[in-house]
Amino acid sequence: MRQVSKILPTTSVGSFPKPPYLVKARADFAAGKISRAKLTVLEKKATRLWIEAQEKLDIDLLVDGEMYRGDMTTYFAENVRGCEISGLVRSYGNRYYKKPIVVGKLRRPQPITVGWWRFAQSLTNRPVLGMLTGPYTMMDWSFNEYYKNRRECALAWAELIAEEAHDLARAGAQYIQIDEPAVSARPEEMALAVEAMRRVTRGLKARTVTHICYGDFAKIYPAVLKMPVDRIDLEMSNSGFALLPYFRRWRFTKDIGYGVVDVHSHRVESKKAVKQRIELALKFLTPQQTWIDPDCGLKTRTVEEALAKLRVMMTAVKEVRRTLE
Amino acid sequence: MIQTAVVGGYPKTLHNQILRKTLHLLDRNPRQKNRLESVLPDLTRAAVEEQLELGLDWVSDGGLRRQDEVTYFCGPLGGVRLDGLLRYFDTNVYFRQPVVAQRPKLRAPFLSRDYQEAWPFAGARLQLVVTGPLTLAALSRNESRLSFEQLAEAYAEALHAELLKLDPVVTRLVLLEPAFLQRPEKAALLQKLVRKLASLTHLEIILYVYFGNAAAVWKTLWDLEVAGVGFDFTYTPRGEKLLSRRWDKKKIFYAGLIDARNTKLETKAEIFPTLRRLGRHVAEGKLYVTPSANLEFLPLDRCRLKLSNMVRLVNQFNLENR
Repeated sequence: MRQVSKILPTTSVGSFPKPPYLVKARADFAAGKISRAKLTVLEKKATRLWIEAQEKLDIDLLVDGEMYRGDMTTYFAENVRGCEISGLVRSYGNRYYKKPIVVGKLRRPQPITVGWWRFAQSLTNRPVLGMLTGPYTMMDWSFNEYYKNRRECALAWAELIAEEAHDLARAGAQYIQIDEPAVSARPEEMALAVEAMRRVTRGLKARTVTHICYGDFAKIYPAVLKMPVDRIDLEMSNSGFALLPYFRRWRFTKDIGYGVVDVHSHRVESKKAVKQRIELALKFLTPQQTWIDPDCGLKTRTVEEALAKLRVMMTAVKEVRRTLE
Repeated sequence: MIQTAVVGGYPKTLHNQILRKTLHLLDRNPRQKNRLESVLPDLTRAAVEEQLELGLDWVSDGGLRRQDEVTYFCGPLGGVRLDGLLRYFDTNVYFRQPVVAQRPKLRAPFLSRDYQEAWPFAGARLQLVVTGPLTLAALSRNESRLSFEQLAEAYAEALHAELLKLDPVVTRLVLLEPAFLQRPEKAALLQKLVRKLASLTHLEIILYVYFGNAAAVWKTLWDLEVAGVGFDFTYTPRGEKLLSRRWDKKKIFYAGLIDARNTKLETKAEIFPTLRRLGRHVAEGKLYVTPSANLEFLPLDRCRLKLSNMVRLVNQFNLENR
């Protein structure tokens, strides 16, 4: 397995845009016009495309791009017992998703992501991230008609996400990401989020990451450093790098995923701007602890926009690495 | 008799998601703006008629033009630009944060249009629901020389100018101020802002708060020079106890008892005891049961079920307690 760069290693956060042929195929499948087997062929084709694109861009730690997933919570809810899926709920602007409804005891009948992780890893000798949604976020972003309270629901999710994480590690995943974007919403529940994450990562033989975005991170910092993971991945560009001064007051004691391109803007940043963002980070963080990536998943961009943003990210980071070396 | 109302918008996926599809087209081709204007009036009518058919006593226009509860009010103002996405309180809904470079100023009124589209179908039962100036100031990033207080006052002036342009048939305004629950030290400012808006004497103003515990600010809420107040009971457990401490029987009370962020339907056992206790303090005809927040947190089918269940429970309570 190829090793990641020792300084300013690069990665992505999770999702990539689905190519137009796959968007059509998913709609056709939903309408019953094509079979699941046919859809899977196209999902694999698109996964291959994104693995190759990341290799070509020389990204260190790859993601499978989630060509087979609709949404980060719905996907897991569809694959566990005890959940139904609701109709569309709006997230922001014109973006919608289907929200899980917990209607019974949560159980995982079989591994959910391991097969896709194995497929993606078979396409490359660079490490591929195992990608999971964390238990606190699954609880917070679901409707709950079964468990007595939020804590019970979160810990129930933690048990089955722990099973999935351990299966990924046994399959060979060296890095596993457990997304927790909901964590910044209720600072008073940070202890619950930490407890739930501990149930997932306890004894896990892999490097662990959590991704947190689009919230008032200042309200949960430095408490969030208690999250039992090796790296915390943050959206920085969208929030104007406002968090950095906090790292001077309280040192960032873990590895950090540092978002240098805004995934909710059509505008592709200039190389100069991205370099400046990286150089700004290095005033507060070390190059060894700082992983460079986009703010969040890129699935809301077009394929061309996503590639352009990744390209400028890689060009900028390589130039900064050279100055450090 | 207890009545029912809403405190925000309606799910935008009506009519086979025509709005979503039109906005998607517009994103790819901004010259298609006319298509958007051609679908919105029909959708507003549908949202209003659905609320009425479900049995609600007071309805909103559905808020179908609104990107969210912040952007819609700040975006059209001079001196303000819209920036990156920010989470809306503790939800997983996001808004584009207003960035204030200069004193915000109303360029041209826009709320009248929403009201005019809805009025023919709802008539006197139509209430206007707006986000209040203190919340807009709290959620803005202030890069101007204005203090927080001055910014909030500027937003209040813009809203006041809007309300002046409204047809006098508009009689009820629901003013949403969720940020006050996180900024209780701004009590004096809130009173000043409300006084400015309450100078429009033809309007009944109901000040409503959500996503936080109202107990900490109850004294201020009770004291405001408004026709009524209300709060989200999902964050204020046993909230009816607050009214037993102090309440003005002349005022309207909006009880946000129906959880707008969960699909689970409320039961008689959960709601009736609270209604009985509230009924001891709120005068006849002044008590309303509402969802706890905006209905867009629910998918359309569950929103309909929730509202229908709410109306059924209230009707049953009224019947049993005649």
